[in-house]
Amino acid sequence: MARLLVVDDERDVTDVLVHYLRRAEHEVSAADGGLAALDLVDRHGMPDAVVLDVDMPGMDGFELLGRLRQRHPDLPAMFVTVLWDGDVRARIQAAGAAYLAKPCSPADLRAGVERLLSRGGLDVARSDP
Amino acid sequence: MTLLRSLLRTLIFVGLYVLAAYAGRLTVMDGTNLSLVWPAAGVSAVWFLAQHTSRYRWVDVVALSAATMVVDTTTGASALLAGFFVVANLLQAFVFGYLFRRWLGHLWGGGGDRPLARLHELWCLVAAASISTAAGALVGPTGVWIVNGTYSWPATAVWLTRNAVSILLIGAAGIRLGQLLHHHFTTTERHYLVTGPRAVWAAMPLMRKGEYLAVTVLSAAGYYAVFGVNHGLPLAFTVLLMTVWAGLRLHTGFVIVHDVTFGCVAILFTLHHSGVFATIASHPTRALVVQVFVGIIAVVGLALALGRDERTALIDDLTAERQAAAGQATLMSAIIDAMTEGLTVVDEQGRILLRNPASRHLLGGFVSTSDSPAKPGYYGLFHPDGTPMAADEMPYRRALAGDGAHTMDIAVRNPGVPDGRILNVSSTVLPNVNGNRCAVTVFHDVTAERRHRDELGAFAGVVAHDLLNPLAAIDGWSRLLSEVFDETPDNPVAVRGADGLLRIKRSATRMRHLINDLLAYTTARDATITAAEVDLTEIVTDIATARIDQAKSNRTLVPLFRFTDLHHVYADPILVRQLLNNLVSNAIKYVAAGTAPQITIGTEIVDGLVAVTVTDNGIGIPAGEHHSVFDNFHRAHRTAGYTGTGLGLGICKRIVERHGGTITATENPDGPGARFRFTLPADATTAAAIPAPHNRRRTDNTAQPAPEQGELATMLAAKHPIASSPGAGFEQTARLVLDYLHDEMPLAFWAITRVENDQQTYLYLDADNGYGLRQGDSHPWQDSFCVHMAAGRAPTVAIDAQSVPAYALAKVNQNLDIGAYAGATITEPDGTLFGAICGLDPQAQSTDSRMAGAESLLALLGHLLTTALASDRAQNRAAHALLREQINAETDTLTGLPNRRAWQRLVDEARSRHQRLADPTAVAMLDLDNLKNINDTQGYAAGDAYIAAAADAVRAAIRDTDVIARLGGDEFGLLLPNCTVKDAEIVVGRVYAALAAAGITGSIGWAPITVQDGFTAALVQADTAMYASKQQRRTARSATVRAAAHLGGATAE
Repeated sequence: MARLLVVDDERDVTDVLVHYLRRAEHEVSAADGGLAALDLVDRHGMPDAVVLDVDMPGMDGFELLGRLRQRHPDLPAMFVTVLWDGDVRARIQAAGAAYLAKPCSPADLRAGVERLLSRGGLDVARSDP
Repeated sequence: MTLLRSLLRTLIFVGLYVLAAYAGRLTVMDGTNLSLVWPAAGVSAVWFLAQHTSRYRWVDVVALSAATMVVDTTTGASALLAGFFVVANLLQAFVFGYLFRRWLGHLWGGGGDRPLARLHELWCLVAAASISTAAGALVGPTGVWIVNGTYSWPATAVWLTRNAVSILLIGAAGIRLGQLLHHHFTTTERHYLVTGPRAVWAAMPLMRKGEYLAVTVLSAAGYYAVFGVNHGLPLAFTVLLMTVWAGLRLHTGFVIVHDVTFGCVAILFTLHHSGVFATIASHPTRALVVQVFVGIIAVVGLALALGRDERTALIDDLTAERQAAAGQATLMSAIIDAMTEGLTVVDEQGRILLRNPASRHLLGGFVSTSDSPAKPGYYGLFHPDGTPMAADEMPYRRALAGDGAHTMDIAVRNPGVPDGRILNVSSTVLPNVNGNRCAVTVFHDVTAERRHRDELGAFAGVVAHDLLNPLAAIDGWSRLLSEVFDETPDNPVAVRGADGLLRIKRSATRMRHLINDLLAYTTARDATITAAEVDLTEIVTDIATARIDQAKSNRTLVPLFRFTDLHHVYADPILVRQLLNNLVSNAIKYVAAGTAPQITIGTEIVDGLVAVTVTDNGIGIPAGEHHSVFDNFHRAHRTAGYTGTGLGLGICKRIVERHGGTITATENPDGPGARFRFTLPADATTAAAIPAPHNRRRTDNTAQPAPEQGELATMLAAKHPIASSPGAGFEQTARLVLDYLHDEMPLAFWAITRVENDQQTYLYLDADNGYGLRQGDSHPWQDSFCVHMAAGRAPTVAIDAQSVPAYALAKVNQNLDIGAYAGATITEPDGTLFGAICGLDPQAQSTDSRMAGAESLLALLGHLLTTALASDRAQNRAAHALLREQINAETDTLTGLPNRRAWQRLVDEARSRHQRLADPTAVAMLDLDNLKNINDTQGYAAGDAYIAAAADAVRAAIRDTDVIARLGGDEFGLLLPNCTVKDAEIVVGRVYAALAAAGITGSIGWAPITVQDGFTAALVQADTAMYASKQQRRTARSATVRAAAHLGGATAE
C-alpha cells in the first residue's frame, strides 16, 4: 500500500483512476490541476508517487512535477496521457518519469504503479539542481 | 586492309614510282650512272608510310625492288649497280618509315590521322629525311664505287642532297595529301576533297583571294625572271620573298603546293641550263646548288607556316579558355545574385568575402556596414524559443570553430521585419584556394513552413487531447460498469445492460483506432518530410519481430515473413515505417480463420525508383475494389466481420504520394491473397547503380591503372544494368564482376569458384564458356592453378601460364588447355578461404596490354567479393535468427523439436543459401528401430518416452548450428550446415554413439549437398541410404539369427 496523488484536469478520468488505484489498496488523493495538487501536498504531505496528465490548463504536468521534485527530488512519477508527439515522449524520458498511454486498462495502471513503487525512484538519470 | 585495296594502292605507287624514277634517270650524271635529281626517293618514302598498315606490305617490297631494277637497267645501269640501288632505296624507305613512326606516330602515315601542323614535327621530318638518306648513301654511292672502281665524293654529296630534298618536299606533300584522302574516306561529308577546299575558298574574304592570286602570279613571274632567263645576275634570293610571303600569310596546304611547284620549276630550268644557276659549269654542282636552294625554300616556307599555325592555335585556345572562364564567372554571379537563398562567405579573419542581394532582403535590410559581420543584436537574431543569440553562436562562427557543418533555425526580428521571420541557416567550412578556410553560409525563409508545422501540431494536439481524454473516461467507466454487472450475474438489469455495455466498449475501441488513424493521416498528409537514407531490411525486421511477439503473446497463429536484400530508399523514416506497418497489419488482419499469415516483401529498381511489393496469403480484395481500397473510409470487408477504420490504406497512399511514388493493389499472382506495390525514391548509392550513359569506355587497349573499389563498384553498376545496393548480396556482385571481366579483360573464360570438401567447384560462370564447363563442375583443389595462387606460390596473373613451374605441373592441365591464367582469392569474414576468381585462356596473352594492370584489378575485385560475402553473411545471420525465432513456435509437442513444417522452412532457407554460396552442407535421415514393437508391447507412453529419449540423445550429440527435426513417428531429419564430408562422418558417428549409449538403435542415411545435384537429390539420397542401412542391418540380424539357430543356440535379441 502506498500514498498516491492523481492529477488530471478531467474529473471523469481522475475518478476512474482513483477508483482503480484504491481497489489496488492504495491510499489515493486526487486533484484537478497543478495548483490544487500543490495545495494538497502542502496540507497532507508528500505522496509516495504521483500519477499525472501532461496537458492541463494553467500549470502543465511537467511544471507540476518540477515543483513537486523541488520538495522531494526522487518522487516517482507516471504520466498517464495521450501521446501524439515525439517531443512529449522525449520530455517524459528526460524527466525520468514513467509513461502510460491513455486510455489504459486497469491492469496496466496497477502494474505501472507497482513498477514505479518497487523501483523506489527513477530509472533514468536526472539532473537535479 | 583488304588484299584488293592493298594491291590497288601498290599499283598506284608503282606507277608513280616508275614515273619519278624514270624522270630521275633522265638526269644521270656522266660517268657515274647517278641521277642528279631523284623524286623517286620521296615517292618511295610516302609509299612505305601509306602501306605500312597493310598485311600484304611484302608485295610492296617486291614491287619497289622490281621497279627500281627495271627502270635502272633500262636506263643504262648494269644489273649489279641496279641491285645496289635496290638495296639503297629499300634501306632508305625502311629507315625513314621507322623514324617517322617513332617520332611522328600521331601523324597520318605514322599510325595516327593528324596532318603536319607543328614546327617541331617539321624538324623531325627533316631529321628523318636526312638520316634515312644517309643510310641509303652508305649503299648507293658505294655500289657505284664498286662497279666503276672510283669513289666520287661529289656524287655522294649529290645523292645526299637530292634524296633528302626529295623526301622532304614530296614527303610533306604526300603526308598532307594522304591525310586529306584519309579524311575524305572516313568522314561522313561526301566529296570532302572537293567540297572542303571549295568551302574554304567561298568563305574567304576578297582581299585574301587577291593575295593568293598575287602570290601565284608574282611567284610565276619571279621564277620565270630568275630561272627562265639567263641574265648573269645572282638574283635567286629574290624569289625567297614569295615563299616568306606565302609562309607568313597563306594556308599551309597552299604553302606546300607552292614549295613543290616552284621547287620543280627551279630544278627543271636549272637542269636545262637556264636561270641563275646555269652559270655553274659542273653538272653535279649545279644540281646540288639548286636542290639545296629548293630545300631551303621548302624548310623556310613550312617553318613559317607551321610556326604561325601553332601560334594561332595557341591564341585561339587561350581565348576560348578565357571566354569560358569569364562566361562561367558571369553565370555564377548571375546565379548568386538571382538566388532567393541568402549566401554569405566569411573567411577565418572574419572578413566578408561575398554576400548576395537575397541576404540583405532576408535580414530585413540590416547588413553589416563594415567588411566583417556585425553582432547578432544588430541584425536582431534570436533562437526560435525567443532567447537572444550570442555572438559565438552565429553559424559561421561555429563552423569556423571547427565542428563541421551547422544547420539551425534562427529568428530575425528588427525594424525591417517587424513580424519576425524564421531562417533555416546552414554553414559549412570550405578550404579556400589559398589554403585559407572560409565559412559558406546559406539561409532561406522557413517562416511559413514552421508556422504550418506549429499549426499542425496544435491541431493534432487538440484532436489527441480533446477527443482521447473523454474517450478515456468512457472506456474507464464502462469497464467499471461491467465489473459491477459481473458482480451480480443473476440480476436481470445486469443481463440486459451487459449487451449495451459491450456495444459501448466496442464503439469506444473503434473510436480510439479512428482517432489514432486520423492523427496518423494528418501527419502523413501535412507533416514536413524529413528524408534520409532508410534501410528497409532493418525496418521490416523490426516490424516482423514485433508482430511475431504480438502473435505469441496473444496466442494467435505466428505470421511468417519472407524478405531478403531489400534496397535502401531515400524517404522519411517515420512515414516509411508507418506505411509498411499499415500494410503488414492489413496482411495479418485480413486472413481466413485458421490460416497462418504469410507475408513476402521484396524490392526491385524500376526507372530509378525502388518498387516495394508486399504480398500476403489473406482473403484478398474483392474484384473491382482494387482501386477504391485506397479511398478514405473504404472498408472492403465491412460485412465479413473484419474491423477497420478504412483509413489505413488511405494513409499508405498519402505517404507514398508525398514521396512522389505510386501505390497499387492487385491479386497475389502466386495464390490467394493480395499484393501491394509502391514506389519510393532510391537512395544515393542505389541511384548511382541505375543504368546511365557513362563515358568510361576505353578508346584503346592500353592498360589503365586499377580503379578504386568504390569507383569500381559504380563502374560495374553503370556498365551493367543491375541494381547494386549495399546489401546486394554475393550472387549479384559475382555476376557483375564476371560481366566486367568478360568485357574488360582479354581472357576467354572467367568464373567464380567455391573451395570446399577439397574440391574447387564452379559456382558462377558463363554457360557458353569455351571450356565446356558447367555450373557445379569441380576438380580436386590440389590439382588446380588457384591452389598455388592462393598459397602465394605462383603469381596471380600469368600471361604465359606454362612458363610458371607451379602452373605447368598442375594436374588440371590434363583436362584443360591453359595458356594464360589470372586469379584472386575470396575469403570468409574470419579470413578462411571461400573460393577464387579464376580466369583462363587457351592462348598465352603475352601481347595484350590489358593484362598489364590485371594484377591489381583482380586483387581489387577479390576484395570486393570478400566484402560482398561478409555483408551477405551478416544478412544471412539476421534472416536465420529471424527464422529460428519463427520456427520456435512450430515445434513438436512430444520432443520440443521443430516439426515437419519447420523442417521444410529450414530446408528451404538452406537450399537458397546453398544455391548462392555452395556452403558445404549435409542432410541426414534417422529412423528409429523398435518403436512399433514398444508401442505394441509396452504401450504408447513407453513409445513416447522412447522417442523423447532418442530426441534428447541426438540433440546432445550434434553441434549448435545443426538442426534436428521430427518429421513424424520415428522419423527424424538432420540438417548440418557448414559441414564437410569429413565433419558429417564425425557427426553421424557421434549420433550413433549417443543413441547406443541411450539404449536406442536406429538407421541413419546421409548425403552431402552438391551444386550439381542440389538439395532434393541429397534428401532422396539420404533417405535411400537410410533404408539401405536398415535393410542391411535387418539382413545381417536375420543371418545371425539363422546362424545361431543352425548351431542350435538360442535365438538372440
